[in-house]
Amino acid sequence: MTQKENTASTRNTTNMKEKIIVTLSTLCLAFALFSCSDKALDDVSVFQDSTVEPNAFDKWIHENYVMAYNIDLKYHMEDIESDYNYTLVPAYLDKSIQLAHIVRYCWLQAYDEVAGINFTRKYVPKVLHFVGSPAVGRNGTMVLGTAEGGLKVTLYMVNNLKLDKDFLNYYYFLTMHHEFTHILTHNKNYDTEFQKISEADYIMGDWYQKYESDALKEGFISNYAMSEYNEDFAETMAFYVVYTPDEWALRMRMAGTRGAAIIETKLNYVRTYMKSAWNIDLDELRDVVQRRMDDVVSGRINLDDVEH
Amino acid sequence: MYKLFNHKPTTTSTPIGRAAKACLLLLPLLLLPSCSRQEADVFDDSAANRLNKAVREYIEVLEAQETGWVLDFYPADRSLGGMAYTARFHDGDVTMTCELGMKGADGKVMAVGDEVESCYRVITERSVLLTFDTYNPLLHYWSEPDGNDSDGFASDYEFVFVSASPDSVVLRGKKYGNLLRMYPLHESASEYVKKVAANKSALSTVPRQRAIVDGNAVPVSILDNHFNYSGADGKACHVPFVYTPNGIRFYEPVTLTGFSFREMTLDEDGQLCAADGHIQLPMPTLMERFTGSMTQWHFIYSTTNRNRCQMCDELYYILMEAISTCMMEAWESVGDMYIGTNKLPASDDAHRTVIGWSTTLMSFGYEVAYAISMEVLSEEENIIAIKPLEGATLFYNYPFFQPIVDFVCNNSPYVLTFNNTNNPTQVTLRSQKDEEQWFTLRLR
Repeated sequence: MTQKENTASTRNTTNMKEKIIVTLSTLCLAFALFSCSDKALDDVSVFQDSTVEPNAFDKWIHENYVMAYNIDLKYHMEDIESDYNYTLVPAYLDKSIQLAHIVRYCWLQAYDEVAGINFTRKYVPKVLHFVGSPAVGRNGTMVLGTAEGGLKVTLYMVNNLKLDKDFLNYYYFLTMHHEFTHILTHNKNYDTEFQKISEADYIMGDWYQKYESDALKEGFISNYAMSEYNEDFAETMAFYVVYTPDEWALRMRMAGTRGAAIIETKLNYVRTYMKSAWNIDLDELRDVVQRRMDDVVSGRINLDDVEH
Repeated sequence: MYKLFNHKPTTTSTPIGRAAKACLLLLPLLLLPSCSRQEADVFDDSAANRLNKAVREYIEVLEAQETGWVLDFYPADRSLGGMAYTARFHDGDVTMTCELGMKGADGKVMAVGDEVESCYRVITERSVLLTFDTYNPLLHYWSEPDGNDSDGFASDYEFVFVSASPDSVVLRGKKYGNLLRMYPLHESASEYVKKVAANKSALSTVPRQRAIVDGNAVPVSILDNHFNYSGADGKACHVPFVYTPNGIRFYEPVTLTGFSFREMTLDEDGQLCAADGHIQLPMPTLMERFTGSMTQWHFIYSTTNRNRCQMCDELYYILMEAISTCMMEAWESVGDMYIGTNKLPASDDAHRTVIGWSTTLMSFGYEVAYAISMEVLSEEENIIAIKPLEGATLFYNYPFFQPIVDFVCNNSPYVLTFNNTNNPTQVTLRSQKDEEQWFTLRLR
């Protein structure tokens, strides 16, 4: 046998062995896969509904948040939903009821009014979590509200709830309009020319070291707006909506000629974006938000009724 | 492409190819044991089903007790002792009372016995939990951040079930780990906590100082919701307890001279008893009540009228000199001087029995103290000894008070004369060494 023939014979033997091994292995695998399937599935789901009868507020939430907007409003404290970095306590039931009414009336229904309920349903965050206490950091700083990926908004200090416009805007609605703006711009981007207006002045994580008055003079509506252009866009939108025209004008005066001109330029981008992308007139939205807030703080809205 | 295909068969005979073959041959061996059907289930049901069943059972136990439960709640690291609560669970709500008056996060004040309703749930995480998940100011007071203190008292409001029966429920704090024990309540919740508050007031203001164990005296003390005694190995033991309507109940069993017990109850004579009567903590005598006082006995003096100063001349001159120096050097007036329990809490100053001064500068007040010990030398003759220990709160800033400490301690022991033996409000201490040296103290 020549060396060439010898090699060919070895190759044939090797191929045969491989075929046997692969066939046996496949059989074993098939045997193994089917041999463990003799247990029937339990016909009882492991995910059982709560054994506690829903209270009147639960039913109200179901009707006015879950069915209306597909929003899960969590007023029962769930530490799995909360930030483990903070020591937190639950919210008062009656304060939660009031805040649920306020959020629905001043935030959700404001967007319903200017853009239609289907718009709100589609883009609003799907989880609202109420926490009674503030989130106090180890260094004594306090978190006002948090939003996670456009999906969940957590509102703190519910136990200190006051029917006062400044309180409600500072602790809740600036955050909520801000986060909602992020959701909108994630769905439809805004004109990237906006990013160039204050391109050289963004300071990232050092924003908290800036005084609000200095930020205004540099053309930012707030010191947080200085962190980066997306936050700048969201802050400009949120502040414009929660401020009355007089409050906005006062802020522009504080900003000075140069600062006000920059902020107004940014505002025009926001205004244009809202109109072209979402067919929302920003001034109309601002007026609706203001009117609804006035209704709440003046007591014209029943914030305690969960029967209707 | 062709070249690659052409080389493929030969690669199986390389070392790597042989290893792959070996692995393939071993594969069935690895798979075969996995098909064993003889493995017995440890539990008769799945973990999820068992958790769901436990939730239903625990809710049933909690709500079946229609008058509610007594809760022995220990906040923080148990250094504050325990607090008596009641809780009635009904349809997802819980109605609570507490032995303490409280102020809620919204500023609303609740008196002892006021009922406050909130929500509760029994939920499953890695175990079954009882969670008080809407705000109840009585309970969550211990859990919320306090100003810039991010953890506040660092206490739980979520508890893992350890056991549950109609007679008792035992839970453990999920985050901080303190045990929460619950016992059936057989009376009005409000009345229960009011009785607890009254008992606490009576027992804590006249603390017991000795135990009688089968006739032999053993030194013990009750202070700040803690029972303090020497263990079998001589080690100091401090066991936190919660007050009950007629006694105290400990966080963990106490073993005193061989007797182990979890609870002490008051008998008709006002003695705290345990271990089937083998152990009694008798009402303190008049002398013990003075030396172990939980309040302050104040010196009686006036800087403008000698006749209103109830003390000997020597102490009067020492005191006037100290008050004058305090004004000149520290610009502070001395508003009060006392012997007894430090006005500052133990968390601020561990020295508990002191000679103390309260001074003021403008509207700022300061507490100054010098730690002393007081010991009964003779019950029959009303004699006590007062000994100096060390400077306590801020004393190093007020050296001009040292002569007062020296006078009080150097003239020890004293013979005490009370104005009333049942409920004294005033006592005169006259030196046994020199009867000319004396001073009178009174309660406010």
